[in-house]
Amino acid sequence: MMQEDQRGREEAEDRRPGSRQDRRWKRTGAEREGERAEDRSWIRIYALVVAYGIGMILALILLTRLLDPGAP
Amino acid sequence: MTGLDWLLFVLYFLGVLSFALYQSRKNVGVEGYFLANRRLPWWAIGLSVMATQASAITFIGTTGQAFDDGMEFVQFYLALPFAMVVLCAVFVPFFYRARVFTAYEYLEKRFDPKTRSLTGFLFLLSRGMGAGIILYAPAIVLSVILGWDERITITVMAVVTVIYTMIGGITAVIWTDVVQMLMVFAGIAVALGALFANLPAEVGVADVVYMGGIQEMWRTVDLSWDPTNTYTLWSGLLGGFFLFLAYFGTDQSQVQRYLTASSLRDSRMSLIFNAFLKVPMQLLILSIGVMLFVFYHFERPPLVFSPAEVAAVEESPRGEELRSLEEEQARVHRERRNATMQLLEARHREAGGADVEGWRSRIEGYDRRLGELREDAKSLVEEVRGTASNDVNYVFPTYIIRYIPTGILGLLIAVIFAAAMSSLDSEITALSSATVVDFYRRWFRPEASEAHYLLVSRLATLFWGLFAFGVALYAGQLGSLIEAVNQVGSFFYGSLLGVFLLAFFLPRATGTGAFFGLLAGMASVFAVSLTTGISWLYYNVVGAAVVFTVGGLLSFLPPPPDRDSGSPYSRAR
Repeated sequence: MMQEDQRGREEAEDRRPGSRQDRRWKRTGAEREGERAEDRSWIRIYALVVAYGIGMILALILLTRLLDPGAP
Repeated sequence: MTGLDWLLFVLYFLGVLSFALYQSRKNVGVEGYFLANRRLPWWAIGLSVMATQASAITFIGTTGQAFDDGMEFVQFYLALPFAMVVLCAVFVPFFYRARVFTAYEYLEKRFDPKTRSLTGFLFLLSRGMGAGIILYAPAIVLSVILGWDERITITVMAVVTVIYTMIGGITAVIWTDVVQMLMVFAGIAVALGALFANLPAEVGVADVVYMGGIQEMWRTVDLSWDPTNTYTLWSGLLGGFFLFLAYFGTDQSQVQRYLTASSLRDSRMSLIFNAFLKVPMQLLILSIGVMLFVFYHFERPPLVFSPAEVAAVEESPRGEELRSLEEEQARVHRERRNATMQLLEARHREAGGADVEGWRSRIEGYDRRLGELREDAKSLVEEVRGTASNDVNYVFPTYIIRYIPTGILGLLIAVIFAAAMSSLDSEITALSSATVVDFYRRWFRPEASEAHYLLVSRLATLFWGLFAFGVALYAGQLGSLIEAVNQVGSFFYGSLLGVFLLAFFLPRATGTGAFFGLLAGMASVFAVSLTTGISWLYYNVVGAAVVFTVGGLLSFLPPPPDRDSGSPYSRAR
């Protein structure tokens, strides 16, 4: 029980603004560069999703015209 | 329901409860209970994200909506792939790298405690109500099938879901969501298969497509510019885009899901998975409604699908009016059925020509008349009961009770329950996490043991289950359920989104600017809803735009001494 209380206090300390744990949120320049590189590696996947979304809309417009000739 | 149906139904409940108990052994501490120790695979999270959004309302309300109005509802989802890209590129990295438990915790790191608390409170308020509506939907099904009072079915649903969520935490929730989502996929396939099997032997897929086309049921895209219409391409793309950004990016019930991933890559993958699968899934569910519309050309549908509404009118002095409408419906339906068979025969024989056009125009006339009779009957219900008919939610349940064979019926009922429970469990876990992390641990007991927080988390889950239960008892007075859930969210969602957009895109934004911007955004949404007739989908755009503008402008005011200055969190990135 005492160990758990100690752990609770340590974790509360970690959550305190400016604490050791909390400072991890602010990263060094090298860490940020690594994150930016990781983010950039997703650009092609994003382009694929956007193309899929546009293709889906165009396909549905076409489908509407084919199946409902009276549609505007 | 026969013995076999009941057996399947009970097995489903026992399976879910056992699974939850099995998973609960992994819950050590709050991070285990709320974030599964951040170790779940992307595909499980992706299915859970989908299951959370696809509630029983999706299954019941959407099919009924397609039965009445066709496929246009799908436009609502067309912005989802684009929203997912923005979420993966902007929102997910901020949350994941901040190592937070809740979306609102991030706002304290970025802004201040008051902004965190206000956004957390709004989430609790809106999703607490949303959870109640999610709980109400399957209660309708059971009340139709079993003849139970809706309050009893709501109680049964709430008890089972709360028990397994309390015990198992997020790990159990996500893994049961996986099973429940697979059941939903199976249910869609079974429902479509059963509809085809129940059509007359001479009616093929091409005939179904053709029959749906007569009443423009397959029309999926409406290109008109009408801001009062929810279901146009532009409402879907603009309003839907902001709604999905808000729902997946600021609603803890979704943010919590992708925070359980073992890496940022897995978090993103879970959303990309949804970007690809969500629209096709909605198309399939809507096509069940259109198939029902075609099916009822051959079988006579009820004039009013809700048994409770029919009973209320029959027991009133105006019961005779309903009977007379039903008699006329029976006569017109008989004529339409004959005309339909003649039309299909003419099509098979000559593939076009005068005969086909003649029968087609007759059917259009019968369809119009049947539509008028249905509207008259619904008006009668409204006049007798004093509340609008929400008969649309009974269309699919009525079909499965009448036409689905033993065994499969039990499976489909379990699927509807699975859809409801997979949304409800996620909501109450998210509500519980925001309550404990953003309020209890932040303001009341910042220093306590993990065992204490785990106990409080379970109690919070119980509390939100009871809250949802209370809301569910009054949900019947709302209109179409599917719109009701989204409308509740739309009063807050756009404004919440505006706060996060300020945090991500305006480095100079301050906590005070975000806080008062949020209040201004919500006031604007309420004003717009009261004074204009624009679709509720645009409320999200209005809310986000006002918060961003007002919050941004306020952030440029010089701060008072010792406020919003010197904080290591006010300039996040």
